[in-house]
Amino acid sequence: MSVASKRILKRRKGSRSLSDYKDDVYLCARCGYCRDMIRARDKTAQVCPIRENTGGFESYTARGRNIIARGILEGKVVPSSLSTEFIDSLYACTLCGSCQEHCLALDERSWSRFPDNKFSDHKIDILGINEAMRSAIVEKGVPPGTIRQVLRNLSLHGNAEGLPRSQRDAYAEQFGFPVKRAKDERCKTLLYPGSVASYSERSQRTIRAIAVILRGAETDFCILGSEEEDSGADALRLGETGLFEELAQRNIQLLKKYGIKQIICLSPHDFDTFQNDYPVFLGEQWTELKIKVQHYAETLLNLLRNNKIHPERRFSKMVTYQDPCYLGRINGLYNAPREILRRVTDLAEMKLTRHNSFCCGGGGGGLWHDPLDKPRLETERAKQACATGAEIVAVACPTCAKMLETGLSSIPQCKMQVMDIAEILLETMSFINEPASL
Amino acid sequence: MKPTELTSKLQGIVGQKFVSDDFAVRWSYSMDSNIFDSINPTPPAIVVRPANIEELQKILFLASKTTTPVYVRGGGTDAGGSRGERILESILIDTTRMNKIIEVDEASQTVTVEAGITWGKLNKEVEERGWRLGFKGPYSGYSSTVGGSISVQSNGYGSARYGVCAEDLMNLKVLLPDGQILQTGSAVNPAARRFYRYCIGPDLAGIFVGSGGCFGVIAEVTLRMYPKSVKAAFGAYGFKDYESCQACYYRWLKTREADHIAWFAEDGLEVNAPELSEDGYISLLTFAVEDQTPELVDARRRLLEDIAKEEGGEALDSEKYAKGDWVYRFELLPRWAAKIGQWQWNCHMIPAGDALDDLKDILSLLKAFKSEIAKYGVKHSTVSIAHKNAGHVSTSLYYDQSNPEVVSFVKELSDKYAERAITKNGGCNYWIGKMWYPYTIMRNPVYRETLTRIKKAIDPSNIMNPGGLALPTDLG
Repeated sequence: MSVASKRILKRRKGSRSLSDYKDDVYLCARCGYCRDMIRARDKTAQVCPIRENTGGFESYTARGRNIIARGILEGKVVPSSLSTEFIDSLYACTLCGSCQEHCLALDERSWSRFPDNKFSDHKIDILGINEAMRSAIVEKGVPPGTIRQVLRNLSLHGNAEGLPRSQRDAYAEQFGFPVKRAKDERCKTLLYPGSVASYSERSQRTIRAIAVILRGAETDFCILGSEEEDSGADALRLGETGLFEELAQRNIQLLKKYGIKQIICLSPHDFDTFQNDYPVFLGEQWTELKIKVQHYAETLLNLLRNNKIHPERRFSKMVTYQDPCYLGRINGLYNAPREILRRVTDLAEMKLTRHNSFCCGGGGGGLWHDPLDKPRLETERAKQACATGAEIVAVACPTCAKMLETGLSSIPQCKMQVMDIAEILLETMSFINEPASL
Repeated sequence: MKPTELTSKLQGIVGQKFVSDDFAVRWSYSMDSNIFDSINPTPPAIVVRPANIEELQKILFLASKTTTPVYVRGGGTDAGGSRGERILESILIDTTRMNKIIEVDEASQTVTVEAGITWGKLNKEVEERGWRLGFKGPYSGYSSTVGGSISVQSNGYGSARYGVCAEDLMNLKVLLPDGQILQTGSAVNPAARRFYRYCIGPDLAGIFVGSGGCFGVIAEVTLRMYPKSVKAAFGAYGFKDYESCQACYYRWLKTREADHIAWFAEDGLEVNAPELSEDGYISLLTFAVEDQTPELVDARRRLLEDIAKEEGGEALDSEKYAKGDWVYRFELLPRWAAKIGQWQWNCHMIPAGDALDDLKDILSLLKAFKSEIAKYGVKHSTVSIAHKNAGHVSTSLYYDQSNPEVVSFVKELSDKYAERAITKNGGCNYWIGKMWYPYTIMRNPVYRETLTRIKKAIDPSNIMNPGGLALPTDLG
């Protein structure tokens, strides 16, 4: 995990009240590096994908929003008077974390001259400030219509798109083997597909691939099936803290009831929320459960390293890899997916990668919210992927998968396909099409 | 004209997407990174982001016709408050969409850019083409723009050898307040390249250098380039008495062989390298050298090292104390600032040989305010950065900007600093701006009158950054 990731995660707060972010707001020196830092010494470029692709006013950027947040804290800006234009721009942000990653407020990685300074207390939680501003907007009842609908769906149906709960585990029918349900059989390891993947036809292949590999490695795991609840990640990111807490409580009850001790998350967004938001919002209520949270990239890599699974052939197509923001920049997990890919194929990196990676456009509500001048980040990122000459863009996130498929569909000359790292790994194993015989 | 009507006309010029009169959007432009805006944030009435010189021209035609005040903003990192007291019914032109490299002309060894390009981008692109800049940018250089730097006469990295940003300036293309396009330098001759500044007649570029956008909008800038460096070397020397340090500093400057020289005074050491204070040092001198061959770098490094030894400097770990300044240039101030919250940068120029007297006087001022400084938790660091024959002396004040009492004290201390630097020590302010307004009255009356005449001639309606020159008339 990068130093920046560690530091910012340390600053996560169990609240999204703007007043709790006062210290962060006033730490900003207004240098503007969060919106524009192209430098010769490395590949840092295009810090804010939204600014680069919209009207690009300061209000679209972390610095500008910080100035507005400061205005709110000082009583000079009234949240209820904020216009639709601004609110749209606030929700146009995909919370990709690039601004936060590049904020130089005490990033000690390159601070070589005065190493005795310990900066561990400071790193501006820019995403937290954004979420706190969204929270103020939600409290005033004025978020964009699409966001209101998403929040309503999360509350009523446990998923952002309002799809029936009964279809939540339809993916399991594709497994080709019976899978344990927590309500029927006790198990300690939970495979948690989450709301986006559960209902996405595309991601069902990913869930299946992970399940088949886990089974092949003789891992005892189960799913919650139609009982599964949304993690609350989207509710929190969209500013509905109350709903997040409600969903988190529902999850805690379920996990407690079934004695779950490990969660393998499909979505980096769910992984991040279980890993980093639950402890600070729920405190002991969460920590006493002693649940280990993992993204499946780490799980699969462990299986490889421990010789529990054995790729038997190379994946024949050239692959490039999309860093999911909430796996890479936010949680510092850059290497696990790459190591999996490198073990089975040749990896061609995109120009903007790892901490400089470019967002797919789906985070922070981007999957649903479509304001007038919303930039087509998915198309831009798809172009960047195509430029590598690879045939496959590998993903480790159901949101990235959806967005990049959309992006690629708008570039007919590029024949690239989206595959999940688990699907690629599975293709190199002998039990690929024979799960029932395992 | 009412803002809404003006907004609609501006939308007709640049497109709806790039004009806003929304309150939140305007508020996000209410502060640059200086204490004056912290105290009195003022949003403009309309923000507009032109993409090119044609759009810029139409905006100025409109502003001129409607007598609407115009403020120009580059990276928004102005530390000196060079914007006049902003009139609310005004247009703010955000130049950052005008960020392209127009031409790298190897024949004339120049690069021509749109003024809204950042120093970060320009340095990167020039280096990728096998060249480098002399002056590499001010301390906020990744995000600050070339046009902004010309407007405020930025000092910064490379100044020890190459001077301020305008000293490598060859040609300017400027939009005058009435929308006419003025070309300066060699390209006044349409048959000539943009390769030379001082020709055709008087150097009109000089009027716009340091003018804070009071005479027009800088649209295109041509700068000199140098061969790309292949090697850099660094030196760091500790001194236990100021006189030896001054002697070394003076001689280092005189050689013009260092690309960067920094002199950290005792308070600078306490904040940034306390272990050196504990070892009895009261000053740290560092240099950086880069050049196109290793032999040149080594020769220049040896010269500077010999001087330091002759003057009694004790060699310190240059990797630790000097290299970071150069390799991570543009990255220091935000980090320093965020140790506490914000920085207020007080700075001025002083002759190389007078740096010590000035520095000692500034330190005595800080000592006089010792109890208040402690009370308000302010940290300070006094540094002199070399600029050819001059020392750029600055005291950065790091303070908690969330506390109005602290902010008020820092403003008071800054005012005292400015007064002392200008009236007593013979320094000169190289920025214009609110920090220096009380002392502009000291300008020579003929200078003042001439400046007023120029302003009246170029901007008779006083629409460009009104108040920015702090002239004692209703103009400027």
